[in-house]
Amino acid sequence: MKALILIFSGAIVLLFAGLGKNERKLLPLVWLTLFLALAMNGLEYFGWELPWEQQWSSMLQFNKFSLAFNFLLILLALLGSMLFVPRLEDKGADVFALMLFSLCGGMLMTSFTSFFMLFLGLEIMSIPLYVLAGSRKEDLRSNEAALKYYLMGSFATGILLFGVAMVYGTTGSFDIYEIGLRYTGATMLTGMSPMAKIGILMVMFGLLFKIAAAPFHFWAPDVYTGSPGRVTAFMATVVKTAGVVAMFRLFAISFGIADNFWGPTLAILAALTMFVGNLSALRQDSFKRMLAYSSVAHAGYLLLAILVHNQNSGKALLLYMTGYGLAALSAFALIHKVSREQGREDVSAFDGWAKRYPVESFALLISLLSMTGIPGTAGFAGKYFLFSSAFEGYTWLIIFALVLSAVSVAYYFRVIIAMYFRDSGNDASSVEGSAMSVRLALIICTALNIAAGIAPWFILERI
Amino acid sequence: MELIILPLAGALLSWFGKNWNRQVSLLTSLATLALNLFWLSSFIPDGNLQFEHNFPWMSEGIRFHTAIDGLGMLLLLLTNILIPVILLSRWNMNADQNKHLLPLVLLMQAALNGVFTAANGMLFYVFWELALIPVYFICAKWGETDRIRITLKFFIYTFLGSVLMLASLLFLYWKTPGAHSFEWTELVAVNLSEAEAWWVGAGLLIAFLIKIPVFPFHTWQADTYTSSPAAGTMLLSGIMLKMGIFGMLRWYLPLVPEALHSQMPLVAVLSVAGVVYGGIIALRQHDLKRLAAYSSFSHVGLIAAGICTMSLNGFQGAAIQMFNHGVNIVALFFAISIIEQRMGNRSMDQLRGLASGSKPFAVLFMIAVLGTVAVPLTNGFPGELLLLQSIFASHALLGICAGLTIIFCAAYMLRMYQFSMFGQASEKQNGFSPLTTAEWLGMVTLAALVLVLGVYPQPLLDLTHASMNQLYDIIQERIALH
Repeated sequence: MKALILIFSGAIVLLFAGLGKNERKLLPLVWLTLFLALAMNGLEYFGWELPWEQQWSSMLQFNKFSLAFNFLLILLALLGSMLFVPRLEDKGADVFALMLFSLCGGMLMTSFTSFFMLFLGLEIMSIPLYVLAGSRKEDLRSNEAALKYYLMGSFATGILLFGVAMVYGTTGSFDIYEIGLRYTGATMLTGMSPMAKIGILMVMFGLLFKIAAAPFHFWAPDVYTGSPGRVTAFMATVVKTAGVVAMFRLFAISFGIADNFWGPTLAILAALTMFVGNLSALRQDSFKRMLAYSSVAHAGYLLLAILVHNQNSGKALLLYMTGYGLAALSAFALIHKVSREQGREDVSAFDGWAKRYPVESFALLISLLSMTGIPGTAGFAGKYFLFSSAFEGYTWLIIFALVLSAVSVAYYFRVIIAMYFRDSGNDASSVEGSAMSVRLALIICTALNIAAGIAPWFILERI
Repeated sequence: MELIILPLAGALLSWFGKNWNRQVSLLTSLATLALNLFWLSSFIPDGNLQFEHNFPWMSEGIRFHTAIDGLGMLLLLLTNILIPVILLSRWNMNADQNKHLLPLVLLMQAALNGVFTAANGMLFYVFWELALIPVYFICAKWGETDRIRITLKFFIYTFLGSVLMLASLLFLYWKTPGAHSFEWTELVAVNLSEAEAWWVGAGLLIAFLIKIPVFPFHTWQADTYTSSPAAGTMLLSGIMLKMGIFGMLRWYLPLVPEALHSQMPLVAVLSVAGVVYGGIIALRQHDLKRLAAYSSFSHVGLIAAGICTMSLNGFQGAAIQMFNHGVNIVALFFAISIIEQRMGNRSMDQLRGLASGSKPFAVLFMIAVLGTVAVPLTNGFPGELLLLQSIFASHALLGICAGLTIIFCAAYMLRMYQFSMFGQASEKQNGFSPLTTAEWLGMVTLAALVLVLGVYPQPLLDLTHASMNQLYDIIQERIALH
């Protein structure tokens, strides 16, 4: 809670401090805020603030689970703000402030105990994003992204709200634990009413939209490609994590009892998401668009955790999101770099990169290997624990997922091939070194990724 | 475990080394070999696991458990003998290129040593995958035209096999009692129904058959071998495909004995088909490297067929033939790379009379060829004899087909030798410069192994006998139970 308050006040201070100032000068303030929040969150986690399970008027609950995920969210936001250095001409602090507000929303979504807070968190997270997606005002694609995201997003919110209303109608409560109890009773006595079933499905669809799972993923490629780099990175990591965690919480606690009803639907959607994401990514030439589809594919893998919704899959979810978040952050940051340097985001823009940027290339290599799921990276450990937790119940789905992750080699490796095995036409004189903060963040991402791959229990034991 | 850490450390040192990275790499690999030989001296080949390291890694069931038995020791020896030779083959090449290639070879060595010592399924899988990355980079970075497409195909192919293997291992993992475990002993103890065993076995088998490769999973092989740099080809053919055979012996046969009676005959037929098919294609090749690639494909088919007989002779033959095939094929590719470096091409049509250029090289090359043909008193002979005998014993017709390999092999190998080494040398070929010291060392080591193990193969048999016996007993016992 303290971390949340800290970030929120940091954002407000930033808004005032930023009047008329250059964005670059405010960056240290953002880092400071996020770093303090990270430290605060860590202190809260390690028992500085006892007792553990803090309830806030039955609206929010900060336990090990939510604090661990909040830590991840803040970490990702911090690394994200280090990886994307604003251009000199970027004015105004609103971008940073909006990101911090959005992060606050994400943190509510990991710790809600009431549908009120879920909805509030979702909106606090989304509304700044609608603005952020269009923050490159002069760029048409950015405008398109904002409009598309806004229209689709509000539609999905509507569906979610409708679902919430139906759930409320059948249980008379907004409290997720209370709803869980009611449904347990109802299932044992009479079975679920049709209204409850429709409600659950609508909530599910609304949330699936947020994490870009098929068939609600159509906005993702356009929005990801059109938005400015740091907003895309933020969406792919922080927003996705928050969405999946919210869904996990809700489906584990409230709807867990009815999983033989929504389980098959979600399993088929998960399979569809993996399939669509991986296969569409194969055909992309733009690396950013490829990563957008790959992020759809990863959403499919993440749904496995919700399908199983037990202790083990929660742990696996944390590990997986750490691995994916770190990898996606560095990948999006390097796309940002390449597009600024060459004005394009194709895979071929990376030709001969390894010679010019050995450190950056290595970071991207590890990220891509991690997303593919090669042992020694957090991506593999995450995939292993996730798949392993779901293996008993959904063997067919896991085999399908494994085969598709073999397919994903074909597109991830295109970038590796471009970096390491192809020659660029340009000479080495066009090397433009990265800023210190970018370099540092890349090294942190890579090191954490490998460390989590070799010693995953450090993360697994956090929940 | 030390055998894994040592090359890993060497790889790091060599990566950051500036001018002395080939020395560092070679020294590391020699030190690893020395350690391996030292362990061999105190190794008791009684089928028990020795030099154990066992501590929990990711969880209680995923342990860092390494141990060496006879079969593992044989393959460790193969790896650690061949790696210095492979490094020697790069000794005189462009230092700029070597800078990153040599550390990758050492990384490969670390991963391979891990594969051959792993006693935990997850650990095995991790090393199995890790071995793929360095070799992919070696082949895709330093190979020939069109290497990128070919190596990507190779990578996806083998990665697909690996994930199927992972699925099978996971299935077995969930069948282990109590808090589940990936330990080999636990996985072996799992009882499966026949249908389950069939699917689990199929997943494992596909991974191994792709790696070996056995017909019809071989389509990546010839292209990859041909387009890779010599060092990559040696790694792939000499050691990496042994991972597949080793996998069959250690991680397939004892794990799913219930499926063997339905799957092994099929694989046997496929392997023998590969033997004949590879032989026929090799007869028509003009590119020396491609010819050697198909010859390798044909030979490993024989090894796989020997395993499929599930007889003691078959296992034993497979074990020692793994070692000998590794030595022979690396010697062949070494010789071919020597020719290619000097002549600038490796097409039989353009090479003539190389023997007059360098007599000692001609002799060494001849020894490698004879070893591959499996002439008595060369190392190829005893293994091939055991394998053919076991195949005959299980099915006469298969045995006859597999026996064709001797004729084919003699035909294509001698044809290759004749066309490239004899005949009227052209102007250019007279410039065949004598072997350098590094090449001498490498080729002589291999040739010596060919001859010594041909005359006296007993050490190899002694080393693996107990392990193979044990494997045979486990399978028979489980099948009888079933």
